[in-house]
Amino acid sequence: MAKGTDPTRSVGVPEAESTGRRPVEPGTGQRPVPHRALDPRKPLVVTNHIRRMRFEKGEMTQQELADLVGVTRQTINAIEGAKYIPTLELAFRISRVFGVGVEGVFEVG
Amino acid sequence: MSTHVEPSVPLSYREKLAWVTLVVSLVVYGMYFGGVLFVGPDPQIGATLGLFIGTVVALVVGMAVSHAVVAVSTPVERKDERDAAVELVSYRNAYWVLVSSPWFTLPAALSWAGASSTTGAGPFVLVGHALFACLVLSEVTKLATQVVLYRRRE
Repeated sequence: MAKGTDPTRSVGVPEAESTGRRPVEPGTGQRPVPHRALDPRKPLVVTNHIRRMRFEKGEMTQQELADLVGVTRQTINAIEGAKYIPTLELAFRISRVFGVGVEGVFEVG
Repeated sequence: MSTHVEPSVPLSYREKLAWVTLVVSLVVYGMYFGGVLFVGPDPQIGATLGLFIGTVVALVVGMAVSHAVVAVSTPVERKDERDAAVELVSYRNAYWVLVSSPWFTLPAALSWAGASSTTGAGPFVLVGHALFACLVLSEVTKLATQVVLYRRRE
């Protein structure tokens, strides 16, 4: 990394439209989050929208989601409460249930 | 916004197993080492052997009964990735206790043998107790780590 470079500076941010808003990603209907390089000096904080997405998907229960992805209800509860960061495999399984990409369910900050 | 209220999350099957195993271990091994302290250095081994056999029986019965109660009261669940992650950390902690505890327990046992001027098989019995204590400490550390990690920030 070059000296004096801020590791959290945005990289690869797509150009905004004339309205100033980020363009909608075709196929997903979502506006992509600007990709910022993560500061390796700071611990990773992973949050998620699983609880909201469960409610939006016909009020799916934690047990139902757990059965679909092959874990216990307690694991789903721990993930929702940000007490446990799932493996990549489990993150993909969960996002597939909701029909979105991993970054549609999980956020890193 | 949905008014659906998620019921409180009960303990998982493996978390309950960790709890009951920890409690039974603490009770049984606590009684064993309490007996060891009561008997003292035993040059004849007899009392120590009886205590050890009784402990094994109590441990087997206690574990069998407690695990059966948990299996009946809670649906048996397959180990998932979170259980595996908790187990990895708990075994790591137990390993460090296992390799470091002889440095403390053996000198303590030998000091006790020397102070009590025991003869015959007494010192060897105490060394055996010390090594067994190391195993028990590591097992308790493993179970306690599991319990803490399952309950972390809950």
